[in-house]
Amino acid sequence: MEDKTTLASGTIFDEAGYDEMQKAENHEIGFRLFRIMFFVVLLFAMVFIIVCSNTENLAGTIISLVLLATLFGFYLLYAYMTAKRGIMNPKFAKSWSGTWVIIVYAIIAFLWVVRLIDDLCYGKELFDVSPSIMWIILTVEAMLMCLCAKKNNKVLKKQLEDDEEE
Amino acid sequence: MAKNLKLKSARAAMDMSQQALAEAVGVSRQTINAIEKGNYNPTLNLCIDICKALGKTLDEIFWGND
Repeated sequence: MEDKTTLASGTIFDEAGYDEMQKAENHEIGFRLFRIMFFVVLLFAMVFIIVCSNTENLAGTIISLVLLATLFGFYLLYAYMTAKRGIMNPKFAKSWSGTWVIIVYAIIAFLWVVRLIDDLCYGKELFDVSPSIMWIILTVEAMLMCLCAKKNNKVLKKQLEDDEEE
Repeated sequence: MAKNLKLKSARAAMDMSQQALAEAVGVSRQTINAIEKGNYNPTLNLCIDICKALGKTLDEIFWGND
């Protein structure tokens, strides 16, 4: 059994000394909770952004935007890591890998950027434009998700190509 | 992990594609492919199901000397 020191050593997430069954069970629990946590935190982050914008809270606006970007950073990392192994959800990968999907999101992102620039030129504060920034983060994330889906399908196709003639 | 050539041979002897074997044992073709390439260690239950589908024993496909 491994006994490497990591950042998680000594915490509840420390897997040192776990056997394969314990690791498998632990990973299943972790995945299910990560999935729930993502959607809950996403909801809170988006609500937080809107509330801070309406209440003209600058610090809250910055924190909520950073929270949203960080959350999507981990989400994209998960998407990329599953795509690299070709194990992204097949239905999700199929529906997100179309080139037209990237184009649509690119157009939407562009429109939000134009609106953001326009608002900033009119001297609006960060908390006024934070909803625009939020939608830019969401659409850029969607575009990157499409690229991950394409990668997944490419990896999967390569995996399933026969190496030799049978 | 070494490739599982015995599995591939047994499957070829039955004239079975990876997809057909995958459907027979209730997994994806990707999993059968990964097992044959030595990229995945199947569970014991899956090993047993594969052996039943191919009419072989565990020794003949998954362990014993090459």
